Amino acid sequence: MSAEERRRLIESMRPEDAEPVPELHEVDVPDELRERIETAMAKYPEIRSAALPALWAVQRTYGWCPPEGIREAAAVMGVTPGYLESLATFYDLFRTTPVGRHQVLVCHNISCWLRGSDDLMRSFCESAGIDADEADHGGASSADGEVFLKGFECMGACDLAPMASIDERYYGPLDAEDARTAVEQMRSGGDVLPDKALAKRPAAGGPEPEPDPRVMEGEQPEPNPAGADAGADEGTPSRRRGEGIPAGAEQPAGDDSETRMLFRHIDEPGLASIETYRRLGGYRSLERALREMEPEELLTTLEDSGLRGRGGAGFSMGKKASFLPRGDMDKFLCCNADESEPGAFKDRELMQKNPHQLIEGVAIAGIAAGAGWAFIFIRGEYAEVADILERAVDEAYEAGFLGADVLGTGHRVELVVHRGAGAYICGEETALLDALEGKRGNPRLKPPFPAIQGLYGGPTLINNVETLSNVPHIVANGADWFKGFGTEQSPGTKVVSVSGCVQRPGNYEIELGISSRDLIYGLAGGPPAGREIKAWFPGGSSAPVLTGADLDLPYSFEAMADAGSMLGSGSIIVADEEVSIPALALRTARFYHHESCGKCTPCREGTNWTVKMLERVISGEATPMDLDVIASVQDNIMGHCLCVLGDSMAMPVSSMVKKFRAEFESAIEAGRAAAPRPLDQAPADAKPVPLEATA
Amino acid sequence: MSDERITVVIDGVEVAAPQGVMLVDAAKHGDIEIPVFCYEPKLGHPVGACRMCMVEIEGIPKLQTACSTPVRDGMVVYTQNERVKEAQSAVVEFLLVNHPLDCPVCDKGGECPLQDIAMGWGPGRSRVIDPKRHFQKPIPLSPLIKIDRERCILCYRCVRFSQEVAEDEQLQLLERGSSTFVGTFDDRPYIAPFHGNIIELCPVGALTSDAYRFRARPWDIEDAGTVCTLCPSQCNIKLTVRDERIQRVLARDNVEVDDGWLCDKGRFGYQMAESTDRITEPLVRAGGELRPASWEEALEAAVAGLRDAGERTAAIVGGSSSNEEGYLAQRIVRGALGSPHVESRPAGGPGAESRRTGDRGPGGTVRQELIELSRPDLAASVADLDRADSILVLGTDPLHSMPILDLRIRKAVRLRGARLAIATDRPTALDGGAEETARYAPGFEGGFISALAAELGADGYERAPGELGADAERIAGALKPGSTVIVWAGGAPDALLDCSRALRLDEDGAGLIEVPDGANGRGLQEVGCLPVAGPGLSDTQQGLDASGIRVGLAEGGLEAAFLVNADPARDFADGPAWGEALGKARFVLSVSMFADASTRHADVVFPAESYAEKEGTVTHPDGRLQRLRPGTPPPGNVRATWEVLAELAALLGEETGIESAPDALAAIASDVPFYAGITHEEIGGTGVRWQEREPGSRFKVDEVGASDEVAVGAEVPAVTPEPEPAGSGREAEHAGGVILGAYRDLWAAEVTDRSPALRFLAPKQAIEVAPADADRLGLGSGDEVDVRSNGTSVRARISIHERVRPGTGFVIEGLGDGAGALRGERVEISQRGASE
Repeated sequence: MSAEERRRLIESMRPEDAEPVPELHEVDVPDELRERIETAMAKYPEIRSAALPALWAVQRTYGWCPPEGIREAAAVMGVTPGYLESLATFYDLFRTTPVGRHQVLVCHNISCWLRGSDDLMRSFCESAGIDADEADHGGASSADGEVFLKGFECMGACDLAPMASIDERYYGPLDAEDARTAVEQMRSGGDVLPDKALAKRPAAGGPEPEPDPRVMEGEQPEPNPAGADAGADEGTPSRRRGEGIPAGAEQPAGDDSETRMLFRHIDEPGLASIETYRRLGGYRSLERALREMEPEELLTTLEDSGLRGRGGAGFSMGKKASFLPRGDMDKFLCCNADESEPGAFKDRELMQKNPHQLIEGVAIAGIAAGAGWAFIFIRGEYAEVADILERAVDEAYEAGFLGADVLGTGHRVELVVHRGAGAYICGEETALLDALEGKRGNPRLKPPFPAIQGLYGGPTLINNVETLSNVPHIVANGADWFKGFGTEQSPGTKVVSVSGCVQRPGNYEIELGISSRDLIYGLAGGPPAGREIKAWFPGGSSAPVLTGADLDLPYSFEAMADAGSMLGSGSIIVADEEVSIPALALRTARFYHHESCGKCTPCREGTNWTVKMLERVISGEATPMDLDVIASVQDNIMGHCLCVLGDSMAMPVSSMVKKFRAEFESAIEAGRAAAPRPLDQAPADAKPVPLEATA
Repeated sequence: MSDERITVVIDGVEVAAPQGVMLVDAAKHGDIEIPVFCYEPKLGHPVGACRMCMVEIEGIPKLQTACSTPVRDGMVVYTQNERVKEAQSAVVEFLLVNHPLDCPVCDKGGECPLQDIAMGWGPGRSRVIDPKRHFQKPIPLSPLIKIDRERCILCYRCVRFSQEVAEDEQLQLLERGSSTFVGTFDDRPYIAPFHGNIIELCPVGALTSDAYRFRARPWDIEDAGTVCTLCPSQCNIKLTVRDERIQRVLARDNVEVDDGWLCDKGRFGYQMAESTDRITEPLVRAGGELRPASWEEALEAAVAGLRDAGERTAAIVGGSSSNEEGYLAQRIVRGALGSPHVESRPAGGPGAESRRTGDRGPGGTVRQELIELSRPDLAASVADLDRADSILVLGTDPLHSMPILDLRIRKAVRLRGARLAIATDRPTALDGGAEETARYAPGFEGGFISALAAELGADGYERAPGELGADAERIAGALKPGSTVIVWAGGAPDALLDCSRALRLDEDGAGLIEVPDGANGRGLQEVGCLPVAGPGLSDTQQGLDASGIRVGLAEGGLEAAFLVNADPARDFADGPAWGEALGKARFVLSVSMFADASTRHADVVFPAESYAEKEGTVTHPDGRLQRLRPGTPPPGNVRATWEVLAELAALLGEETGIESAPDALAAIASDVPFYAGITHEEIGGTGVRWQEREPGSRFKVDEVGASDEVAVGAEVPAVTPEPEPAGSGREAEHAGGVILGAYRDLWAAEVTDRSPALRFLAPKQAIEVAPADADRLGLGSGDEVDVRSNGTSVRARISIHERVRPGTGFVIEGLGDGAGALRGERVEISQRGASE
């Protein structure tokens, strides 16, 4: 902009051009939009929590979030449009430019990439006539306006890899032909890839195995209604073992390795409905908790059970609940269903298939903690799961299991399903609270901890989906029963997501302590025949990688920590010998760079810088000295950030550079050999900066 | 934070610090600097985002941010060991990954925290060879501020200011992660009354003042501390002076006054002082025209004119006048000329609504009520707002009348959860944060206050019926006795005093803050610029108030007008009538910076100093005496006004013995008992509240000359509520127009017109009406209309606002069109161009 243009711009600025809170009479809000937003505002204790629902409503109305739509929402909510625009640009799922009618998000994160997402994206692009580079960086629409295509970060469906979300429904695994078919179907208005829909996919471990006698024992005290047990035999998991598994897959390993407690009846038809859930004994624990136990007793039971949080940190659930101050103040329970760690998809399957198990757990935990308001913060990508969950919540309200007076006992548990909008950082508990309060999902400084000052400033208990799904089982059968499973340090079962270069990616419910090899090879089938495992993440993409030499370690919190890594939320990603570690490092770093909220310096700048350096490693613009800088930058990030996101990149990247340095050095050599231009030349896209120093 | 001091060991040195302060502040007690970027206590709770202040604390494995760690006794801290140095150096390196390092062409150079911290704590060399992020730059964020997003280090101070201090929420973070940038909705300009503060908050050269860019380097300039007298907030400021010219204004943090914030008027209004349109030499009317004259000639002409008029002289002392100027002006009028007519309040001050104390004199407040209202135990300080459990804003919108209080009240609500109640005729900027709001009919504040007194259980009031009573009940319900501060302006001091008693405002931390019409309204009142009271609120011969003076001048009862820093023809609600009155006056002496609507009628003009040139004192609305100190010499032949007035007094035979500004203050101190002994030294840099000084604590109703008749309320008959004016929106149906109110817009002031940077904000006359009235009258936003009553007509545009009470409308006063004179009238609104 020239000085003259700037002067003209200034002169054209008038006070009335500023955008304070618009008044309703100034905007013409479509009735339906207004109603949606007002309904959302009424659902929360504080109206700003309705900001994300309001933007969702705008996007539903207009197909994207146009400035005018944002203004309309702002007028209804009584906030500035700037506030809503700030949110719309923070969350990935909101579109701030007009886009094609059908939205296709193609996962390009680690697990999908390992299974061919690059080819899938290329095929989608070719079929729709969209530039692949544009699609992968921010998204692009086809000329006919039918298809909007965007490369997206992990959507929590690595078992479907490579996968895509088409109009908020998940499909996978997809090949190039599927992409062509999908584009045609979108253009012709037909059903898209009906056979590849997530909804049709059974649990990876195959049909219900013979129930573990200990699980059965647990079910004895509450005799099951007639027919409940029959589910295992007669109930219709129509699929035979091994069906639906990628070609070349072996038959599943012996069921001995799985212990199904949360996944019991997982493929029972209709399990998501309250009738089936109750028929199988559901909601008895809630009745028991309400009628036979005092909240303090519930807390004691949970603490005695030794249940550790399943979200990653592994902190005792009962202890965490006991940190909440007693008293009459408003207290809150938040279920963290923002499962977004690449490689993790267990909560998705739990909610999709057995939502009432979670709702029952939420209701019991809410009563135990004295929280009158509960929220399930579910990531926006899980739209179809959120729909299932919302239906289930409605059913639970109708049946009296939720509401102002649960089952007439005077306990209040209001439950709201709150949809995120595309931000991994919201899985961090304080960022989740900010997002739930209608803010950008930035982590908060701790202390104060959420148990003391959390949502809306009130004491707040935050637990993961899997953690809360355990609660009904513990209440039904007691702490001692629960401790009969798993290890002493970590009782119970653990749902582990295994993905990447394995033949049967999926969720497996195990008892911790089994050997990693049994899990990866036995249950998940190991890498394709003839290939060795080169590296694996034992606890999602933020865990330092282990190598093939570590496969005989027991899969437990302690063993993983001793090996210099972590179990985290229990998500294993396997990379076989064909995988380039520098490319894997770049994929990993790009994800964290993309997801860094930007609040604190080391994470914001460190992830950004690391990506640039790793790109140079691959493009041949680096020297081995850059590897030292990369390593040093990881050190400078670790332990210095406001939350753990920065560390989550630094740990795996650092581990890869350390364990595979030779491979990085060869990558640099190879890149330099292939580099199209000498190193001392500026990259083609570097533009000289015009420094305009005058007003 | 308590007063208790604890000891921490920082880098091996024992440091005593107050319990509970943040480590970064505690370290300062030991002369140890911990670098920060995002930490700024003025913005509220620390956020720990920039990570610059990481230090090691024994017993905690990870490094901690010193900005967010409260000190505990015995804490052992390392701020300079290898581990900390490496971490801090790493943060500097990270911050510079995307920073352009264009210091040679950056306006912040030399006064840039990023430069200083990079120098002191950074690695000193760069390992970054990757491309940096690029933005178009610099671009206007507003007409007053340029933004350079490449330099931004994303400390979020500016955004936090917009969201958590000004609460305008226009400035936002857009995008996320390393793509985050600071911006506004749809690239609109950021225009909000306090937005200039973000320039000062910015720790890099990302936000720069358009008016100051490239005017000076830090080594070219000097700071001069003084007080802004553009409004009653009296914020403490630093003038940046280069070559005897003001280049900018910065905040001079005084937590007792302004919390370190300025409004944009105060920040950019210095341009008025630098205007080339200033009158720089005395003027005397000769041959029908004002012509330059020597001071001797001008003084001689002034003496002749005033002496002729003698006791038929009246003085209007403008609100920006210092205590010394006001004091000397009233000495001239009362002492030398024997006239009682001295006024400093455009509207005659509170009292027009008073109905309990009988004889009020000609439209003015009775002196007894002034004395009661000035009682130290009823006075709240600005800082009391931070501690009050509830705050009542009554009859004023602080954003327009005393802007910095708007921020202060927001802070009380946000940080402390104070309950805010608002009772006004016009919607206020603070409504959004209020627990209760009530709208009464324009001009009916007295009736409302009486209704409130009844709800508060004051003796002698009957509960008002209907909605008025219900509104008053809601407001009363939000107020906590013994812990309420009332910020008020307007009417009914007697009923207000009864409310004060009912609310136990004499307790510590509770009280009243009156927002005066003029910047130094309180000081002028206390040094004798009122028709009902002399210096120190002493008994005096009753004079005429502002409207009485106007009528007197117009009708010939008065002959001479003496205007001291006052332009009634523009500033007063009845401006046009004042113009006529001054035109009829036989002699007008004006002390003025500019040729204005009133100097048009002047016979002699003394050029006035700007606030930046004055030496003297002013009194804050909460009783704080503050010093004005000259930052620049006055231009041309301008002399100190106190000096000119002292000389004029002497020439008129009133020998004051005042030969210096300290002399003038000493004279005031001897005439105002509760200012006794005050000196410039005692006032110092941050001022002193007279209520907190020994002489102030002896303020007794009788010591200032009150007689025994003071007892207000006891034997008077009960006040029966009077109904609000018809058609003011309480009824379902009303015909015709609306009841008109008027308000003084923040920008409806000479300073807006005289400061090029602010000119774009100059308001145009608009009438605010409720959507229902706009519909009823068939009018839309922006329509040109005539607003008429009793043959007076004002042009305006329609402006529709949801929170305006149906049946009422509001125009801006102080635009010189006389709209303010229609206040309280029922007006007709008709579209211009429509058939008449």
